[in-house]
Amino acid sequence: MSLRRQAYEWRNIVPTGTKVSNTGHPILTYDAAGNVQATVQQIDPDRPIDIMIGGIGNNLEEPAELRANQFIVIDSVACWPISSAVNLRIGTTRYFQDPSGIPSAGMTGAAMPFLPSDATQQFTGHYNVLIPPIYVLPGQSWGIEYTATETLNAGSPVPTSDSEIARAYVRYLLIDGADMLVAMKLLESNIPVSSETIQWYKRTLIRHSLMADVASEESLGEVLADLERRLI
Amino acid sequence: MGIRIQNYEWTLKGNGAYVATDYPQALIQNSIFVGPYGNRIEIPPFVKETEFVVIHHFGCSDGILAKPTESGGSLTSWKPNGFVQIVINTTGYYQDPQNTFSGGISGGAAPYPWTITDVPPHYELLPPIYILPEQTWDFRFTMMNDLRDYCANAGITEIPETTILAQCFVQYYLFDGPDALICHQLLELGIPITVDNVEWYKRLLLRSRGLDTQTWEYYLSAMQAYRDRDEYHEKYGSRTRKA
Repeated sequence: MSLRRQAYEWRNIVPTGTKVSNTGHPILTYDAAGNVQATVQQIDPDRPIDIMIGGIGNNLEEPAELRANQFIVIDSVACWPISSAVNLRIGTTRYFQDPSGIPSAGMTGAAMPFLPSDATQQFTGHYNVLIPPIYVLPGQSWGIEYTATETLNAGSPVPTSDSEIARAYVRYLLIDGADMLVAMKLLESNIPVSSETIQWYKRTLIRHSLMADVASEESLGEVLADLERRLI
Repeated sequence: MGIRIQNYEWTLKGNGAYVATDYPQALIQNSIFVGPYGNRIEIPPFVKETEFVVIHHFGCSDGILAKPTESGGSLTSWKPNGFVQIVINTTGYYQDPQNTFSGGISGGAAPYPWTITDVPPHYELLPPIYILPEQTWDFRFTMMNDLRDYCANAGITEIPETTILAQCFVQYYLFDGPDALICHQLLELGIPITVDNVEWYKRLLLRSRGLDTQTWEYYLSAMQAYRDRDEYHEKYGSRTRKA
């Protein structure tokens, strides 16, 4: 499986008494009245939180870093609520910056909302996909930083609706194995890396291979024609 | 019927009088095809040698908080906080950024059912997944809201059949017979396997008047080689031929 469409989702909901779930999304339990025994963690304004290892909500045990045989193309990010934003970090560089060149909070939830099912307002967003998409190369570390523009979930309350849960989402194409080599080749040739262009390049390789086979047979014939013939 | 679009819907409904073991545990992945819960089929999905499967769409119940409602010990609504993982043979399709097997895609990213008030799903299965002959495939649903724990706490005695606890949906193309062979040919050529491309390739074959172009070319080159060899032997008086 060399081309796989992946997605990662972050939420700031964790079981009561904890702040982070390092094993991914936590199990949510409910009391007899149907109230969830979990809290949505307070998020202070203007303090970026890494959604993978930031210490709030569902996290990973280690930062996201590509192996030598992996290449990813990030083509969609989204967040909720609309008073939040997400920025991409590759190595130590933030992707979104303000016009003065200083890294900004990033793409806001109003521009690319990750809507909960019970949202009272249906934001459609300005974007569905990032154009051009963002490439993360083999060996690079990357992350998504979530920043609230106002205090969210002050006092870490027990949520009563999905809308109260802060969320972030990233969708990417994971390219590994031989296809990663094709992706690097496309990158060297300044051709956009996508599943379509990778398949196109492979088709081209196959076609060239067929032509090369034919050419080699023809050239072999020419070479043999010049050799002295051996009588049987 | 060479090309068919297929659907499979899995629904976990109430089973009447509440028995904890009738319902899935939280965090445990269960097959929507042959798992012990909800509707099921007898044989795990397996692509026969004359078939080719392209999975291109799926979804599951939306919602994070369960928001249970009950009356008189009867559970009438529940949201599962579900995730879907796709497994081909023994390999999980979805992995998290630290390269470990993950729960998969949430119902929030790929909701089902999808109503007119919902926004378009964030997740799209592009490129689609090809399941080759002799491979098994499965969709595993994980519920992250603990239903059993809630039922024990709230003293639930019944979950009526009208209560839908979770749903999943899978849509895929099934190519069989000669169309499956065409799928293999397209795969070898690196051409995406879609209904359009299979139809196009069939038109291409029809234009070649039923001849297998590769066989025909091979046949022509073989005949040419044979003729060359024949001429060689005629010229140099071979002892191995026309004895």
